[in-house]
Formats: sequence, C-alpha cells, structure tokens
Amino acid sequence: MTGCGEEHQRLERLAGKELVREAAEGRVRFVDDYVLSRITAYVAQAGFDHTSFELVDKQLVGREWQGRSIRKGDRLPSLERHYLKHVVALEEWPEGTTLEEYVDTARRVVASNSSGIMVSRLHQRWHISFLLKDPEQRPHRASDWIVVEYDVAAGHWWSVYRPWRGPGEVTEDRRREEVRWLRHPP
Amino acid sequence: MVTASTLREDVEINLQAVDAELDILPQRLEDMDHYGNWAGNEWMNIMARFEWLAELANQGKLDTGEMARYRELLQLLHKHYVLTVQLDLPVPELVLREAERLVGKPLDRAA
Repeated sequence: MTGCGEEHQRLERLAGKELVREAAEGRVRFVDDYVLSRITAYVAQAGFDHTSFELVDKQLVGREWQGRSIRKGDRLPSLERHYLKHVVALEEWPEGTTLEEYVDTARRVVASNSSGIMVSRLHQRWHISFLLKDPEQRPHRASDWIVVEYDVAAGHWWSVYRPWRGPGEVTEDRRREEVRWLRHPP
Repeated sequence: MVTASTLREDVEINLQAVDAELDILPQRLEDMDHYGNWAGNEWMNIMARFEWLAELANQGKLDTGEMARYRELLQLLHKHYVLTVQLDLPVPELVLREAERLVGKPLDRAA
C-alpha cells in the first residue's frame, strides 16, 4: 500500500472536527480533494457557537431586536451579534437580509470550490479563513469579498463578514503566524 | 461609481463603526474572560475603515461636521493607543501618523 493510501485510510477513520484540526495543524500529509471536501463539509455545518455570547458596542445600542431594545453592556449570542453588526449596522448585506440568509451565505462560501482556504495561527489559536469573491447580493457597503473565519479549537465559526477593502484585511494581518493556503483563490 | 449620497452614507457608517470600536476598547481589556471569544475578530475590518476615512480627510473629501468627528476619533485612538498594544490590535500607519500630528504628541510605538 502506498503512503498516500495509508494516509487516506487513517483520515477516513477521523471524525470531521478532528480531521479539520489535523489539517489546520499541518498534520495531514496530502491535502487533496478528499480532504478539502471533508473540511468544507464539516465547517459549513459548524455555525457559530450557540453557547457563546458577545458584548454589543454602541453601534448596536438602542436598536430593536427580538422585541426589546438593545442596551449598553448587553451580551448577545455570537450569531445574533455578528448578524446585527455586519448585516444591519454596517450594511454589508442587502437590506432585509434575514439571519437565516446570512447563515446560508456563510455556508455557501465555505462549500464553494471557488473559495480560497487559508490556515493561520492567531493569538495561539488555529484559524481557517474561507474567502470568496461574491459580487452578487447587491447592494452592499463593503468589498465584493466574503470571509468566513473558523476557530479550530472551538469547532465553530468565529466571524462572517465582508471586509471593507478586500481579503488583505485577513491575508495581510501581521498578527497571523504560520500562514499557508490549503487552496488558493482562483 | 460611488455617488455623492452613497459616499456620505459610507462615511457616516464608518465614523459610527470606528467610534463604536474605540469606545468599547477599555471594556475589552477589563473583560479578558471573554477576550478569547472576541480576540479582535473585527479589528482589521474596522481599521481598514479608519484608514479609508483618513485618506478621504487628506483628500479634502470630508465635510466640516465629518472632519470634526474624524478628529475626535483620532484623539480617542491616541488616548487608547496603549490598549491597542496590550490587546495586540494593529493600527494602520497612516492613522497613527494623523493621530500624532493632530494631538501633537508622539505615541510610544515601542510600548
């Protein structure tokens, strides 16, 4: 049996989250179409961590959400906080985009064969960034790119947004270490 | 093509975005238990917006009211600069230079 065949057998035995972790940490010898399909399938369904809450900033304070007014110091579930910030406040998605549509966009970006997939380590945590140029869904106030950031240790999305000026906000972030591409954007 | 009204709206949203991010910085530092969740996941995006505002200001494309608010943000950044260093949040060179120029006091870049 070839080394490649043995590696595939080993990877097939790994659960999705573990395979993603091994790929991010550089422990997968051959990142081929099979590995990429396992990674994208797992990350696409991972979503934001439902147990994680994030502090709102003043751009969200005073907005109506779920039947109440958001107050200073409130913490919202990560998904809701990101949706309100990027879709509603920063208008990175067209007006009227729902929470579900925001999530669907992120899933589409992760699953797309046209997305770049970049691994990096930020503040000692491995991240996988999925970057897709997506000029549709107009009008939006930002670049045509969408970024889905996946936090490997958490096993969930870390952020979903449109960078203001483009993918350089991710790829040129000097804090990121051990940067490597699992798949370059076309 | 960016129309005048779109530019004004973009400026307004980005002034608000930068203001919101700088305003919450002291709380981020006090709130280190949750910092792992946040860890600056939007910082680079907000700083790209701040840099864009700085470029517009230098090109004379901000109106009087916008310019006043932009200068307030530079002063706020100058005040909170040490927090950005402590939280490892990079600030674009242009924004740092403009903050130093406005306040008339160099930042401790080695901090």
